[in-house]
Amino acid sequence: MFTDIEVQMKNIKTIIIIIITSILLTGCWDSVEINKREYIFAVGIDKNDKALTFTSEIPKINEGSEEQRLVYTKDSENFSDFYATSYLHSEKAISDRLMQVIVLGEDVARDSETVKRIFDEIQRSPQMNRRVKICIAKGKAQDIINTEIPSNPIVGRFLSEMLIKLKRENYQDVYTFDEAILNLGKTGNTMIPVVEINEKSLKVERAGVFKEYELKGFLEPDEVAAVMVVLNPNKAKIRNVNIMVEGTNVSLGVVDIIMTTDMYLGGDKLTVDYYATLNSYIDSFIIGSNKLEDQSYLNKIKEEAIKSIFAVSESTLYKLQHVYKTDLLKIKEGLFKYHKQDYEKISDKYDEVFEAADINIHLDMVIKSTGLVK
Amino acid sequence: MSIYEDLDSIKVDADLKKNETVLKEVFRDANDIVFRNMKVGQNKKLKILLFYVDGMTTKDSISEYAVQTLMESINLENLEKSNGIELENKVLQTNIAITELGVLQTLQECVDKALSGETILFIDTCSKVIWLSSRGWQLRGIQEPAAETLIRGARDGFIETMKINITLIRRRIRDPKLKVKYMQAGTRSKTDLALMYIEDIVNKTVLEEVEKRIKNIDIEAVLESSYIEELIEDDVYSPFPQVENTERPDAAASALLEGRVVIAVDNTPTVLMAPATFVSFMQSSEDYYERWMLACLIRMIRYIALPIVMLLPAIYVAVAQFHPNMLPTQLALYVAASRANVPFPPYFEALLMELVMELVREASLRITTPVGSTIGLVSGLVIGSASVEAGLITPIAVIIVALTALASFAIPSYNFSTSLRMIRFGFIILSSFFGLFGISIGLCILIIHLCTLKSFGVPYLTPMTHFIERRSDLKDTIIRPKIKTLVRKPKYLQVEKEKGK
Amino acid sequence: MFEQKITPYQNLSILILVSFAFQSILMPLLLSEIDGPVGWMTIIIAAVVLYFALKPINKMMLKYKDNSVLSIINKIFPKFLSKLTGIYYIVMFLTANSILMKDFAEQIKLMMLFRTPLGTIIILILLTASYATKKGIKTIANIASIAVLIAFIPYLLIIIFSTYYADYSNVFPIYPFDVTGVVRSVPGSILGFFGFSILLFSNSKVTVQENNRLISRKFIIISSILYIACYLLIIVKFGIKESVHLVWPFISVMKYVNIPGFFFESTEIVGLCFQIIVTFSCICIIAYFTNMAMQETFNTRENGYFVFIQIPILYIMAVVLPGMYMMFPYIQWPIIVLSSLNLLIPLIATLVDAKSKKAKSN
Repeated sequence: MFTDIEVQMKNIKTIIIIIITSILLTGCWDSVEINKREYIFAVGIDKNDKALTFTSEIPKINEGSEEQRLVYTKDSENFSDFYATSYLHSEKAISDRLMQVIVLGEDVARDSETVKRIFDEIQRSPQMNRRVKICIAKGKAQDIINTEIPSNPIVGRFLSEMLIKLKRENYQDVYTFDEAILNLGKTGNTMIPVVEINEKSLKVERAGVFKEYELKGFLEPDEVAAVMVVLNPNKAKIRNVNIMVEGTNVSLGVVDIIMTTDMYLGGDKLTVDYYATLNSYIDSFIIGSNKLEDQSYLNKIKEEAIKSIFAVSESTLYKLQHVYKTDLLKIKEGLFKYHKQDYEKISDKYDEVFEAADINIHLDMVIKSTGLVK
Repeated sequence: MSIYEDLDSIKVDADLKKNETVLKEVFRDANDIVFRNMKVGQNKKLKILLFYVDGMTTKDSISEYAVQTLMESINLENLEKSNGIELENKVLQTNIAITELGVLQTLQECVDKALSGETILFIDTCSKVIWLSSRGWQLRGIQEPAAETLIRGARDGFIETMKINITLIRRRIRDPKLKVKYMQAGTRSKTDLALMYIEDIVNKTVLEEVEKRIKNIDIEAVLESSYIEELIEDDVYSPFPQVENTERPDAAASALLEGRVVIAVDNTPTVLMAPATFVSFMQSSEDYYERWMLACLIRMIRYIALPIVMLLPAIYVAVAQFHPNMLPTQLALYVAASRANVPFPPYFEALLMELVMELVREASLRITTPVGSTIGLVSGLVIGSASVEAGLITPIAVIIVALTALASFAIPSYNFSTSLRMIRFGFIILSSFFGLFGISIGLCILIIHLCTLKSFGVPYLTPMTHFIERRSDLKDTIIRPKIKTLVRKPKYLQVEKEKGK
Repeated sequence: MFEQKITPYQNLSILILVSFAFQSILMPLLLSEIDGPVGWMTIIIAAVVLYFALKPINKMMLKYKDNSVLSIINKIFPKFLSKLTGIYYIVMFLTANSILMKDFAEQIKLMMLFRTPLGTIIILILLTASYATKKGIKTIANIASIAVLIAFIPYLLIIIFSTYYADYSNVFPIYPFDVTGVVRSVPGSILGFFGFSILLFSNSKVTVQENNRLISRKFIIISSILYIACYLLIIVKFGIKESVHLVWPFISVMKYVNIPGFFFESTEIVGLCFQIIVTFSCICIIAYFTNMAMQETFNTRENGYFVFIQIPILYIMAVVLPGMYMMFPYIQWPIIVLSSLNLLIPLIATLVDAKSKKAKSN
């Protein structure tokens, strides 16, 4: 069927294919078995005199081992240096592909240059997922990583799940590195959760105020809640408003916040009005009293509640405007998107404009429900 | 040897003895060939010779309907010295109650007919020979097809006799336009083939091509339809079959109604259907017998099973060796922990388990049915769980291989699923070198091959390669259209007149 | 082999696939050149320009049935000019193909096979694509159709799921927009419709050439919708300020895919697997039309064996060229030149043809 020449051509082609194949397939350069890697779950970064201290948590994967995790602490210049050093100190290959959370120590967070270097390395890395969770440690990140939590010995997993829950429930605005870097890119400011040691566990109540990659201070839990109401009113809740009305302690919660925003920039004067309607429900009252059936009493509750919420809002605004001078409310972003022409006139002196801005919160409350009993 | 070569040119002699001598020489040492000399006619003066193969004929019908009639009816007093032609006509007009008979002129034709199970009647002084239809060997009864069982559907299947197979199809298509063309293949075996098609539906180009290829078959013996399949298909080196086969008459009838050509081969309980495309191998008769929605779901499951069969072990190897970050964290840790004490790398595990699976499959095929299923079960249990406990493989690998095996049984065509099983090994090797990139390159090569492959001029991946132009054909791929909207004649078989498609 | 034809919709699949590949490569350019999230304006302008440019070109190609623009130019231009044009197309296709391969190989290396040499990845893609190129236009058209069905559409569907983390207000501000930036980025957008260059050759291979005008229009419309949708997807996910810094926006977007119930974590790797099939189809399409350009420039009967010449050239170019992100600062002028030539050459050919027709009728 084939001529001699065709057979020869076919043979030559086959030989060429075999040669190329054997050259190409002598590799498997990237082949490292799953059990021959060490997966860093959490990394804490602190500052020391010379460089940075990296504390990494690696869950143990050998079955039957009593220890749940290994904690390595090394002084390194950056992540690459840390991996390179750790590589020589372990029989397995270090892998950051499953990293869950990065904890920045307070001293690191207060140094903008260090933060910029770290953030740059994280966003450049193809292996590290930008969806890695991020938080600030109150004190040393090493202490956070070293915390022994009886219910969940792997701190990385604990923190990761905690932060996911807080984001889902709208307790915090930012929980991943990606959100942090996006906010910092857009407005130069962001709010990163703060993790603290709480007896034999960890807690995430407060948030750190970041401006231009530098930690300026902290916001208390109710201040964080107030900021979240402004940032994401549809999903926000005010969980616990405790007030005293005619000698009785009343507790309310607020869901379903309807908010409209009015921004006006006239020259250098910025005026922002937030109009919020708070739909609330009575959490607790006192048995035996039927005052809740009285409309005037409910109105008094509303007034007191509004006063209480307003006070927190005002104090938060004051802190943001005058203490930290940080626009966490994303007013800058709103001006850029919807009032670009006016914004461009003040963009280089926005900080001053923000500090002098007239930010007003107008609250209205509707008590939707008193619960299952009157 | 020369007697066999000259047979074609040796005409039937009027002298009975001479014919007998030649035939006895041809069939020397063939003790199952019977030569029966008789004198028939009312005067018992006419010499005849009956020549047949013992075991291939129904002797009763010959003796009862032919010989007896000849013995009693023919009055040869006046015909004793008449020429052979008159005698022959007389015999032919006699009431021989045989449904089929004919005339032969050469000894080669006599030999061929006799070896096909007919009885040859030589009449002294006649230069022609009469063959009497007397095929009657032992037949296997019509049974449910072994490899294509359905829950709902006819339970008759093809058997080894071609004519009965043709009948089974004819019963389903009682259309005079259903044509059956007889052909032969094999220089020694002279196996009968029947080319079946429906005249006004069939793609004439395909039909001509099939006929041409069958005529060009140059082989000694055709023992099974797979010989024909391999000799007429477009690309023998392709792992994918380009001709479909079935044991079910309803499937064959359905193929005919689509405009395809069906080739029935004697001594084979399967018929071939051409052309065959990728989509046709994923279809089963059962799809059209179940309720529409259920049929759609089953089809979709089949298409999900397709990548599982080909790629699941390769994906396991890629993920375990190259991309562990693809797994959820908990699963990644679990897999890593389970692999901690296993001495073999993932690709070796996968290859080993796949090989064992193939061994179990082959072993259970060879062993008789009652024991076979038990052996399969036992070997699965032993090899699977014991190997895991011994620390030779991981539980994940066992699950992967078991899932893959199950998925391969979801593919209706055995041929096709075998091809996919073969390709699986290639993907495992590629993924062991380059991970998911290797799998993707393998898929690209597979796509190139499938896009180049044709079945009698029809692109193998039709209608996906023309998914706009032939969108009506797409209806019968992943889902099954309702019977009302079912397009019986797919567009890809109606393209003969269009240039370049 | 000599008379292989493709269907109109296969032609459409080819054009859309190739355009998508180059749109994704040139997306960072579009994002960075304009101050603001108004790149969709550029895309619309480019689409309108090409839409109207295609009318006379299709008319001319219909007149010279079964002839690509290059063979028409061979007929109506002087020999020297036609050879020069042929060489221009050959060099352009080779360069485009090598950039595509290099860019893609770098993505594979970075995301999937970090330690594997880049040359190995490139040669694997190249050899696989060459195998397809050798088989002819019919096979390539079939591959393009299959790639659209099993890779392209799932890829787009997966990307849509990244909008879970999106902020739709990132499409603002629209007014006032950066007029200079929009105008400056039009050549890049025109080049992003790389299918326009392919169309000048592939239209001659279609069975029913009367449909070419309709198919060309559909190509422009579908391609621009896809281009705008992908652009907006990146904007809503990252915002314009962050998008400007991205080297491979699609990979970054893929990292955020959140399909409910999907168990794979690194979805960018899943997306890359689909992209491999799409890119490989594009590479073999461009390689085939390079073959065709070579055939028509050097007047050979067959074009299949030119792929053996292309393989070493493409490999060397792909290995030697720097990454796309490194070339961005220097490719402004080359892009303007290339897109102008791509547009002007067939238009000049139509003008010359119309003039010669007038002269003949006079």
